Amino acid sequence: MIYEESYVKKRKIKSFIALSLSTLAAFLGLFWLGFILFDVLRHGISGLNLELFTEDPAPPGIPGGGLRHAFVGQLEIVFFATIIGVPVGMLAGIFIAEYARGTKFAKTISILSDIMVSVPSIVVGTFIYAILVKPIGQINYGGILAVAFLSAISAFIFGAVLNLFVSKILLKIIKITSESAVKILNLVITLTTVLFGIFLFIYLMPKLVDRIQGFNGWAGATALAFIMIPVVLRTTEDMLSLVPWSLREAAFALGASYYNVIKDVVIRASMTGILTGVILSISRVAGETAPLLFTSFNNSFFTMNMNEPIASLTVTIFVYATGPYEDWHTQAWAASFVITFFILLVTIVARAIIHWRYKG
Amino acid sequence: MAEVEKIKVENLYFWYAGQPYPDKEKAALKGITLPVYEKKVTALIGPSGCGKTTLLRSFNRMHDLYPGNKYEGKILLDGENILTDDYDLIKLRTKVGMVFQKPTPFPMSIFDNVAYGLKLRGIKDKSVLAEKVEKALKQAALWEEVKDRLNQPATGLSGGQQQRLVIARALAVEPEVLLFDEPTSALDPISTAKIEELVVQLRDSVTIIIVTHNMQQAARVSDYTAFMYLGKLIEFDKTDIIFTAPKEKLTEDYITGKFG
Repeated sequence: MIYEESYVKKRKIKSFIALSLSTLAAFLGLFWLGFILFDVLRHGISGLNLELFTEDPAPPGIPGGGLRHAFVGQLEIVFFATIIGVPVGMLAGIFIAEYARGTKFAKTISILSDIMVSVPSIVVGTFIYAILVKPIGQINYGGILAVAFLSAISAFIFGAVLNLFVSKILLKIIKITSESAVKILNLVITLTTVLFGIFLFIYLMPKLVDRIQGFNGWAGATALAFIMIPVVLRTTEDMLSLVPWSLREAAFALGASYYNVIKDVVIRASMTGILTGVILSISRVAGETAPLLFTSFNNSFFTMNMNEPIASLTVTIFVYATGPYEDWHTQAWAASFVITFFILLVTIVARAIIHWRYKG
Repeated sequence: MAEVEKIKVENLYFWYAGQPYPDKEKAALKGITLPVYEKKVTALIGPSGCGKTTLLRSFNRMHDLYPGNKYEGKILLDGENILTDDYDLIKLRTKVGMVFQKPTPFPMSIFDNVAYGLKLRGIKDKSVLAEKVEKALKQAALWEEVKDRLNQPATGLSGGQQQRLVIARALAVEPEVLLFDEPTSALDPISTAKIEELVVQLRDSVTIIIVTHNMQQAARVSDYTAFMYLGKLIEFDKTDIIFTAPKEKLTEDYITGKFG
């Protein structure tokens, strides 16, 4: 037997030191996290009342008032960000994980969106400021670009809905069998989409120039969508890649087209993962302040009009926390509490879904 | 009785992406010529890497899913070459079903799994679907075990049940040819026996080609056996002749376990 007692002892000591250090590091991280959560809870809970959600701000010095405008504005911005960001991110993820799998193009997009994920959000904010805030309200190159951009996104969503409508409803009523007819139908859908985009451009151009002046809610939603897109794209791509090829082969062997394979088998198998990614991306953008500072800016009055500057919780917290009034500080704490625990809750729910789905 | 050639493989060469096409010496399949008789079981045997799975996956052109794979030669299905560019793959895969090595239930209910192929073919009538699903499950000897839980997820079934479910799914669309790629290699002996029994019964309704590593299995279930080695077809004959009086020395060596 080869057994050197002193050497084994030394090894045990080393092991103990390594264990202690890593435990200490873990507790150090957890301590500050707990500290922040506790502090937000301690200060925030005292400012929490029903008025916070149901009333708009009172003038400084007058007690009472709430942050209804910010809650509503935040929800609105995040809602539209999700509407823009999730479909684009998901479809792009499907494209690079399935149709363009393994190509240079797909890899490039994948790497680019990895970079996009870590781009500081203030950069996204200034970018959107440059294309959707500054040029708006005047006819110039940037303004045209901005309207073109909005029209393109709207036309894209319109095309997707039209496609869905034709394939889900129209084709059930009218039976089309010949391949050239399908091609013509596809062409018609594409043309309609393009025409819709052009129409929108012509229609929106004067409207936007008239209605929107500078900071506006759409710009805020777009900025948040820009942050969401790469997150959703990468999650979708990763989740689809996890689906074993044998499953796709089995569907192909039954005579399914690639569209059917993706829709019926691949997406279904990875739906929980994709949904989790979507939820996490929503919670990610819900806490963003920097991209909103330059885009939706802030508004001390209640508005639901996305064409105007619109209040958001995060920017309001920033303004209130740096403001001179004690009332504002209390309300900022309360708002911090609400948004922090909202994000915490959303994240926990997402994790719970993963756990529940993949426990086996 | 005269046997009808359902499939005729003529001088088939196959190169995977990256193999030096058109160097025939380095192809994965080297000039295979083989008949497959209608409503018989044909077994493909041979050591690992001999090309039997490659050949099997040519029958429904599974290789087309991956870019860069190349065929040369002909595979005639009912006299029509399926290796031409304009042969419709969806039509081909409707005629030629496939069961894989590992069970591949889709993430849906048992009923929806079996009904999937039917739905792809535009059958929407619920009563027709129910009837065809029941028939397929009965054919695959699974009906009794799942009839009370058709709406439960298919992933809850055992491995052997999943494999029979996959067979039912393939049978539901009434294919003319059914390909089995080592269907029992991931299963326990009892499940294996059930699948083998099934293969023997199915012979009455479909043409079956089965790849197997297990020579006893080939002897038990097949009518014809093809022995392959290094991408070539060494010998093809009635199963009892291959196993009792092979003409080639190589076949005899393999069957008696001298190599492989």
